Amino acid sequence: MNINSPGVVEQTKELIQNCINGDRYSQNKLYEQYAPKMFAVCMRYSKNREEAEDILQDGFVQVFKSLHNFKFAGSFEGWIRKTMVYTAVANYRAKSKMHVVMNIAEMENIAIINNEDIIAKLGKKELLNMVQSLPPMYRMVFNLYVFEGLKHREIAKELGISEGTSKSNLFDAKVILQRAVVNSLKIANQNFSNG
Amino acid sequence: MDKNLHDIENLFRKELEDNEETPSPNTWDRIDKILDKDKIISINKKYTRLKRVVFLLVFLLAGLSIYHWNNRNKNNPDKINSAILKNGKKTKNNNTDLSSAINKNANANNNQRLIRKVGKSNIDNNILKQPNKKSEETISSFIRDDDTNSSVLKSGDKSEKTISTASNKNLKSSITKQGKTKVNMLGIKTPAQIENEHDVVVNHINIDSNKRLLSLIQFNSLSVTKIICTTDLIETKKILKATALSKPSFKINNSTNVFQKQTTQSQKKSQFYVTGFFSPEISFSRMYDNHSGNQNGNTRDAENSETGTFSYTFGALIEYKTGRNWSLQSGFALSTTNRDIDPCTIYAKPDNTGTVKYQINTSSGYGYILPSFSNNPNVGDSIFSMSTTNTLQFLGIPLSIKYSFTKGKFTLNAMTGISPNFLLQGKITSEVEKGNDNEIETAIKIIGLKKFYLDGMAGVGLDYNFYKNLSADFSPTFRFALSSINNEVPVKSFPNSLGFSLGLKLKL
Repeated sequence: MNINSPGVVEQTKELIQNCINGDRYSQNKLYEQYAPKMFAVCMRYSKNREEAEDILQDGFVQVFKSLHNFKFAGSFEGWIRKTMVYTAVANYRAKSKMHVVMNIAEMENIAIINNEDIIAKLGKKELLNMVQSLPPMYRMVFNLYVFEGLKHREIAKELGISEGTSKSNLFDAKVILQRAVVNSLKIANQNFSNG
Repeated sequence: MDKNLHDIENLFRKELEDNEETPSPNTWDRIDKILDKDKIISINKKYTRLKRVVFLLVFLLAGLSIYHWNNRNKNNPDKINSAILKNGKKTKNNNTDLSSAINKNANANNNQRLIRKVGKSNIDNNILKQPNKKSEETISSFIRDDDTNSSVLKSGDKSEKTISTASNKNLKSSITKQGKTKVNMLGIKTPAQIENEHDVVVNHINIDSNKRLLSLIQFNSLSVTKIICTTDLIETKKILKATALSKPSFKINNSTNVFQKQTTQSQKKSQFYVTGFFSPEISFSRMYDNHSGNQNGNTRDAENSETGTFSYTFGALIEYKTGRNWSLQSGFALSTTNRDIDPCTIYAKPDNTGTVKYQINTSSGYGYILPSFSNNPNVGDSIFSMSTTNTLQFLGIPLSIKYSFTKGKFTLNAMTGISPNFLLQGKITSEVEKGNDNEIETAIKIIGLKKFYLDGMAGVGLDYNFYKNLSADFSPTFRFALSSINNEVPVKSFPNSLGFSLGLKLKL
């Protein structure tokens, strides 16, 4: 079904309007419709499932509160996603004082990965776990840069850090992920050869 | 190395971009609960102002009630007499007022005897005199000789003393005064002189509509004496509770005195009522194009984009009864009118000082805002206003004429009048788009808004009388502007409203 077809757009509009009017059934319907995609977004921004559910919960509450601000000009899914991301950032900023920064210099030298086909063998869940395992600041920068397409200047503004720190964190995040991928591949290869 | 890192980026983007995960089922339950909670908070916030108003109203009414209650107590003879009695006790041998003069210890049996005798007698007059100057002043002002021979009661200066004077009807009276607690009592027609101590307690004084004072005096709980007092006459009737005796009476001319003054003051019946009210309103406006205005905008735009939201009026009204059914009413009314304006793009224009700001147009006038994120705009720059609320507060001085009639506990009324309204505050609050976090800006000055406008009002009402002096009032009232609230703007606006006033009415 084409989500941009007039019928779907009208249905969505009606659903949104009902949600604005506080109709709980419509709110639940909207949640059911968008929760899986949004939860995946939240998972990337959190270290575990529980934290992701907290973000999802806060994000949807925020969506319902500010739904009247949606102008039907762009993609509704994009608007919800944006709200989720900002909720995740707000959540991070609220907890940022408690985060411990990892010293990347102490890590092992990374292996060179040049075969995407092999990497593709890794499951999505495994890749997601790798992102979740990143230190919070790295995870935030990585997500905002890679998935949201924000510039370092914008990331710096959002997270309250300098542009240089943003760049540095992104680099470190990618290094960590690369190493994690290599390690996973090694294990996978070992399992494959053993099996 | 860089290329590998870039591959990592692409790998993760490709794999996780459109990923979907199913959250646990209880996530929605938690959201549901939060939404319920937020709804309650939202309602609470919405009605916070209303609560404040109600609190103020209740406070005002409580104050009025206390004031009214105090006034009533001041005029309440029971209280007066109890105060007098206290005073009398303090001033030994010196009866300084009526009550201390007549409230004395007495023997119940003697009193009963006295009453019986009074019942059998035909007492025309008697004169009471007090033992000392002060009490004499009081009593003599209360009871005086008339043209007949009357019994004169006198007592000694200090202690017990009895004086009897025979009237032409062989009336004898006696009075006994024993210090502060002895009674100065009636002269009674009897062959034998009665020398008794009588305990007299003033129980109640009422003032009737004929400007007469009605006082009930109880003798040792056995009988009640009713005194009818006019400015120049006191008539006392004995009504015996304990025994079914006849009702003797005597008339005594009265002269000017303190008691009389109190009586005269109390005789005046209040014609004033005060009503505290709160009125939620449905507001709407009549609009006309005003071609003298040099700003953009027209009636159709304003009518299409604006919606009246929760508005209210509260205040207090004083009502003066001019006749049986007619009354005049005035007071003050503070009205707050809110109108929501649909989301729209607003453009930067130079204001009167030449500073370029974003202009918001409303049906009542226009205002300028300068958001912090765009504090140096060029002419023609635009921002998007997500929501705008135009709030106007006026102080009205309504003057109305009211016709009312009572049916049982209900009073139906109809009223009409006019109200000059003075502008207290006019503001435009706008939520302007700023990424995900919108910014709320307020224009505290509405250009084009007049300081004063006149409106008319008409309505009907229903009062439910809880008590003699307190009633609840419900009055649907239609208010319509007789003059526009603005000038030199594209749209002339005449605000109208239909209010459902709820209030409490106190008789002063």
